[in-house]
Amino acid sequence: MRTYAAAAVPWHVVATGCVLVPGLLALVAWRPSVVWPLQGAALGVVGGAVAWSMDEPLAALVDTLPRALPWRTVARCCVVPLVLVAWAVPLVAARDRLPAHLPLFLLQGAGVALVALAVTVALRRRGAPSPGRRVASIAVPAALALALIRPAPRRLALFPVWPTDAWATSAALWSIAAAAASLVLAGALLREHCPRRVPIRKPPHL
Amino acid sequence: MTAATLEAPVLRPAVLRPLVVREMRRYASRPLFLVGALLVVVSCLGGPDAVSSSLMNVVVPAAAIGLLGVVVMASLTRRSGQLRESAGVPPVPERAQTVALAWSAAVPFAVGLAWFAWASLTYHQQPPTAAGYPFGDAPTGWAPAVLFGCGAMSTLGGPLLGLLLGRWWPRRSVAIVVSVVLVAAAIVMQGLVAPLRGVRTFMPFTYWGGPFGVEGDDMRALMFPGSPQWWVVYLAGLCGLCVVGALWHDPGARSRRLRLVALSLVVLTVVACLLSALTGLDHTLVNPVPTR
Repeated sequence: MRTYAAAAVPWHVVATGCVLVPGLLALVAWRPSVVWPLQGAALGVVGGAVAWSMDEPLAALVDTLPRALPWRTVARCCVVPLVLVAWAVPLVAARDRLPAHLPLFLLQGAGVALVALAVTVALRRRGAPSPGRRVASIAVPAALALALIRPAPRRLALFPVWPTDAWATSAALWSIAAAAASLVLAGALLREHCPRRVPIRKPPHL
Repeated sequence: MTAATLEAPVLRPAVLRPLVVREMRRYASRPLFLVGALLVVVSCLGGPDAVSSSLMNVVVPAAAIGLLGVVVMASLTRRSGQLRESAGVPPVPERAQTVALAWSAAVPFAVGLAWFAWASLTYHQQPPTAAGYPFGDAPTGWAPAVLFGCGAMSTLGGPLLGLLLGRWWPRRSVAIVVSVVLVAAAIVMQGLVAPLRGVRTFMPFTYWGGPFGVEGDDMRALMFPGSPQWWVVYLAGLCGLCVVGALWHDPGARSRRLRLVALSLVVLTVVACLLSALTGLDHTLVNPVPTR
């Protein structure tokens, strides 16, 4: 599994993500009340790096090999802890300068990684060879735009920053997103692992 | 036959029109554009800012249409380039496709203009409060220029920047990284750092004031130096340079006329940028009305 992961994962993408995320969070820690939209950007980069790592450009070939999609996905999931560490360490280091909701920020990172993983694996299971790049190219700018605009901040509290923001709603939203993504991911992997059995019928003349 | 007569049939309206229509349809059907347009509509339905009216809503079209437009247009340009390569001998040269893609930026710009109309109307119906901005004797045309520059021009400039990126650096990650870097730079250069306020006008998006605060009142409204009117001209020059830069990618487009247009745009852009920094308000103004 390690050999496969070392060869298959686009490590330059992961490295770029692991450099960009702490850099963006360092800017956020500098002036949180003004630069907070970059927290959304960093979240988008977390999701984008995870999604991109699941791409299999040679899907038409590897899908015929003995190692099924669940095995390959688990192997590639070594990227997730790396990206989450790049997300969590700057947050913990700067927790005195940030709003006092560290558990929620950690949940956001885990939630985004799970959602990106679930969406990409589900699309991959449907036959798309490289859905991760598409997911990344949507996730990063969309997260950035949502963090800048903050539409309906009380109902859609994705990136709360002020003390009066809906922190409890945000925690609920991210928990639901993470749970739903986990179910989708489990479903996609289990269906791949246990294909539907077609019953064998006896010919009528026997 | 001279180069001019060989060139003329390629960019005839009869050739360009179906290309332009097709590219406009492609842009208008992109999910990121539709999501961005929906965000703009939702934001407009929520009404303008209570203190500074629609001047504090300029980030909405800039982010939802302009920023997402960088990625959308880069993707469209990249795909058109891939189709050209796979076609072998394409029916139209690259420069015709570039012109058509540039015209497709009229789709997001139309959303930007609609937003500008809404913003201007709400600015007059619900003007800023005494504690908001602008305040005092703001120059004539100051607020409309800020609304047009920050709001409408962003919806044109973002996609045209995506066109330039898609032509010269067609990798998918480039547009994503550029959009993140652009936002980071815009946030730093929005007027947070006092010594940088005089030079922030070189940014394609910047604030012209807001609740940036002073010592003892962290929400006090400020107005920043410079001329937003000349800044709009500067932005128009940048948009033109993006189109010229994208056209330049096709060696067949590097005509004498294009060189002349490029040079004129460079001069216009540099002069407008300098004038936007050196004219208008000459220092930061502080609203005399406190916020609490």
